[in-house]
Amino acid sequence: MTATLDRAPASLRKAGARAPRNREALWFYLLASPWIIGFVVLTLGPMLASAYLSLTDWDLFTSPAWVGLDNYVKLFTADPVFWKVLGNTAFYSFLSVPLTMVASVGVAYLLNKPLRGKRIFRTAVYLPTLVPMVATSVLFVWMFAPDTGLINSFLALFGVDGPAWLLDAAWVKPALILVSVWQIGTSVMLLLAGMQGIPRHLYEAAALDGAGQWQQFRHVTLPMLTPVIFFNLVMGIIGAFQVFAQIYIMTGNGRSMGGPDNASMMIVPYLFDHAFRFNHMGYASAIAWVLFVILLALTLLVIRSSSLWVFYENEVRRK
Amino acid sequence: MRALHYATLTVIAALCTAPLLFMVSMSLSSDATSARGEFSLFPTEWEFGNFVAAFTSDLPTGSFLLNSVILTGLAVAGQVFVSAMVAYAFARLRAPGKNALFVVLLSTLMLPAEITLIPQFTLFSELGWVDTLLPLIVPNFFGGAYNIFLMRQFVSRIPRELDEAASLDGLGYFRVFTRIVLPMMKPALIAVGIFTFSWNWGWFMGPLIYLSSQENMPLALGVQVMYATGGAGQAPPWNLVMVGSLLLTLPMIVVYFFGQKYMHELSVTAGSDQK
Amino acid sequence: MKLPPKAAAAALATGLLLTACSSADPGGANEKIQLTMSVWGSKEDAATYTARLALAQKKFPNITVKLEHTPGSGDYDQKIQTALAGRKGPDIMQFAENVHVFSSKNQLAPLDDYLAKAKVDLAQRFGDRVSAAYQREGKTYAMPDRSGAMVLYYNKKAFDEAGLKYPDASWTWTDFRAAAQKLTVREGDKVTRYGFAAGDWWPWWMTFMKQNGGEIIDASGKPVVNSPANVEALTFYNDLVYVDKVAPSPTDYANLGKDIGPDPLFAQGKAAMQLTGFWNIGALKAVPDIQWDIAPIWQGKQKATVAFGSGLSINNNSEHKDAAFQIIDYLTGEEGQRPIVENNQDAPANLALLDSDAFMKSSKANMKAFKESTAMIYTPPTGAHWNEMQKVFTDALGPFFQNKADAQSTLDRVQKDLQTLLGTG
Repeated sequence: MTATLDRAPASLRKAGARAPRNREALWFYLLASPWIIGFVVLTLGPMLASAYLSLTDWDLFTSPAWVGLDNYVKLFTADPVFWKVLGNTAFYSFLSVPLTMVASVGVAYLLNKPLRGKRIFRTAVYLPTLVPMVATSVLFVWMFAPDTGLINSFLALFGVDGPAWLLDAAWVKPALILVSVWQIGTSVMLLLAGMQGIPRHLYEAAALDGAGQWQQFRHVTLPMLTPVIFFNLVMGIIGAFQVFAQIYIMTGNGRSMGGPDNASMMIVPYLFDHAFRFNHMGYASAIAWVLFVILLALTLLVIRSSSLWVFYENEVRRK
Repeated sequence: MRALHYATLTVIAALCTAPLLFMVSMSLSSDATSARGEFSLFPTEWEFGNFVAAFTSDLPTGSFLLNSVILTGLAVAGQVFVSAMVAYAFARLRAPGKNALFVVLLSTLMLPAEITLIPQFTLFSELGWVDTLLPLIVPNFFGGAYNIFLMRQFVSRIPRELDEAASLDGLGYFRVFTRIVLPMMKPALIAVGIFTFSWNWGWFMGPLIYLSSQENMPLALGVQVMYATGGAGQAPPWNLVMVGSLLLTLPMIVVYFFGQKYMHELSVTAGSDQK
Repeated sequence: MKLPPKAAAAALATGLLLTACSSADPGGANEKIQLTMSVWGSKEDAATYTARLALAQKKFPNITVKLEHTPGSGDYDQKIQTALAGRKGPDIMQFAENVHVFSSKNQLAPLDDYLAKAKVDLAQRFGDRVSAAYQREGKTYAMPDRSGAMVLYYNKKAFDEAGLKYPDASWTWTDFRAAAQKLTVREGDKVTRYGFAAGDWWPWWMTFMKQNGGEIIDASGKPVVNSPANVEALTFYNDLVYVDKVAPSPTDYANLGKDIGPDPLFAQGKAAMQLTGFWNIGALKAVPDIQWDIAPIWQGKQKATVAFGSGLSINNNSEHKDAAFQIIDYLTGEEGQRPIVENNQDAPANLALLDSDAFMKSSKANMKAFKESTAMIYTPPTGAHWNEMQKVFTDALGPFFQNKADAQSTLDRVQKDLQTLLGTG
């Protein structure tokens, strides 16, 4: 990457004069200045402030009081809810992301077949992702109504007595996961694009070796898709750890959310409650930093592990 | 085999669209049905008047929509132009410290917005921007790291010869950008525009935190407000809530069909839908 | 940026109006003052506030108050908090039990000096019990504005059908429970009319605790939630749902749609009795086919009910505190409160009006129930941590109301969490 960045236009390299180079540098800083200023004012400054605030007790109105690491200690040792919040968030993310992934691979595989009316199916699968989360949430509140809701009415057709979903501590997280699976369209489209990019000759070669449908899928399609799957996984986990609107609307009543009994309380809603409902700005900042560290660790973990299972095309060529 | 594929896809398509059908059916229900909470999957009533009622009731649906348009329009304009400009600078211009800056830019991709949420809130409070759309719009005019990164990759793929020729013709860097590079970035601009649109159009948390007066709220927050009008033991006007939800969804669909051509770029950008 | 054409036009119109007024009244040639006032509630609530502010405008031509209305009630606190943090807070704010969340952070102006200067006697105007809710550490942070006690609403037809006498203040828990059983109508497994409807909101269960002699926080500020009296009260309350099956469970409510509570259930004739506030009188007006009346709540070991009140506070950062006080003084006075009665919005906090013929005749219901209930009112344990306390209640009581935990362990948990929260462990 560094190499490409520094490859100067041949004409300018030949010119070699100092003045144009200074002018160019000046222009770089001029044109990049919105981002640089934005970075300092909206990211770096607030980050430092947030780090400081996480070491204080601050109610937003009176001045912050220094408490050292108390907020962090309290989060992990004295807060009756925080561990539960971490557990819920992990449960939600580590189920919804892989589930969505598996479902998307299947749906994309089907959509990649030469079928008539493919466009209609593709649109149908993609439509749910176009519904903004607020609309999705109010809609699914009704979908999940214990007896009259669409889902339980559907289950009743098969003689299944559906759970109370959002009201049941055991079922509220599965309900939220179901909503995320409903919106698989984005990852389906990504995978579909990936599948269409797989060269035909690979399949032909596999067929010549006597590979059946399943073996072609297992040994050609899937390995070739790993970069897309990898990308989806990283983005999916980062997104899932930050769920908010669903929780606020589906499990809340304006005064509290994440119910029943915090069974669906997740990190960002918990942060929101402390910051904007209970005026614990310092404590909320500490939660934000914990979230950051978790996301950083997870992302690094996925990236590190990727060499074990992500298969890049140039490796194929090299072999 | 083929029949099985069709059957499976039909079931999947039905599962995906049934909730949307339910939304439409609820939006067309009468007030009485709505109050009793007895909705059906297929519409049995056709109260198109609900779409008028949503605008004439005590909730300012019209201004919700207008605010959404203002917020999203300005966000897209700022985000697209500024990100493209910064991307051009990173892709084409040489300057000491540029590589270090680019590493900084990439590392901010890892930063969850929640880290800066509270200090930004304090900052905008001090500026007196609370309860205006400014805290939601203005940050877009500083570009977005992810968009800059994507567009820089795009610009790197545009042959240099074109802008080099232009520079030799004496065109300044800014003009090379606006006249030569920007027009060639069209697919990237549209992709980033669509992504910025969908994000801001449906954005909930930002408006929730910053806006307190109804007349300043965009529709995404407005739908939640409609839904919360019940409260204190009263049922929300479900049919109108669903009208609001449809109004919130339709522009997304329109933009999707418009941008279908650029779906690939879009799908690369839109990694996650969680807001 | 934030001046859409509509607002600009409104500002212009107000400006014209003001000029018109002041030219008609050359005596009141004061500086023109623009105030904002925030309230929550239904659109009917908003209409009544607007009517009252119109009266205030006539009285003080130089002061114009713009109403900011948040529908429902859920998000109001958070919205106010954000606005206050952004120095954009309204000059006048409606508050209920949450008043001390803000007074404890210096966000509300203490009213005592203003009250003294204007020679307002709170006890005389509103009674002791009502004003006390808005006082903290000897200072007053709001003037009581509305204060309907929680009363018993009952469906007369259901009572007639069951051959029961209408309820009155002499009812005991035993009478209530027996009536609830008789009033419940079943078709097979399905309940078509519940004898009683309540839920997880604190005024309901806390009132049972108070009636049973229990407390949440004792006089020294320590939590005393897991007392035998409270366990007994909570058990009684949940038995109505799961033993007698005469009241709907959270699941039953969810089947009617989220956020549906006893009020719509009663209005639909699906619940024969409910405990709720004055606001329901106005709401029931729109439902002509239900015959209903009200009575003071039954008694347990003692009488107790909640006051669903709200008061008006002044923003400590307001630039026009004097004008704001003039307005709230007027709005809580007899004249300023009259639209509350005329519109059947609520019980006025002003005693002169609560006793008035106008109030008694404002509905065909037994309006005396409100006056009778004022003596039963208890002050809930509100304070700086009221929002967190409510969260503790909601979290711990949730499983209990779904019959997944017993009363003793539930209240032990509330006790422990409140001790942690209030630092009294």
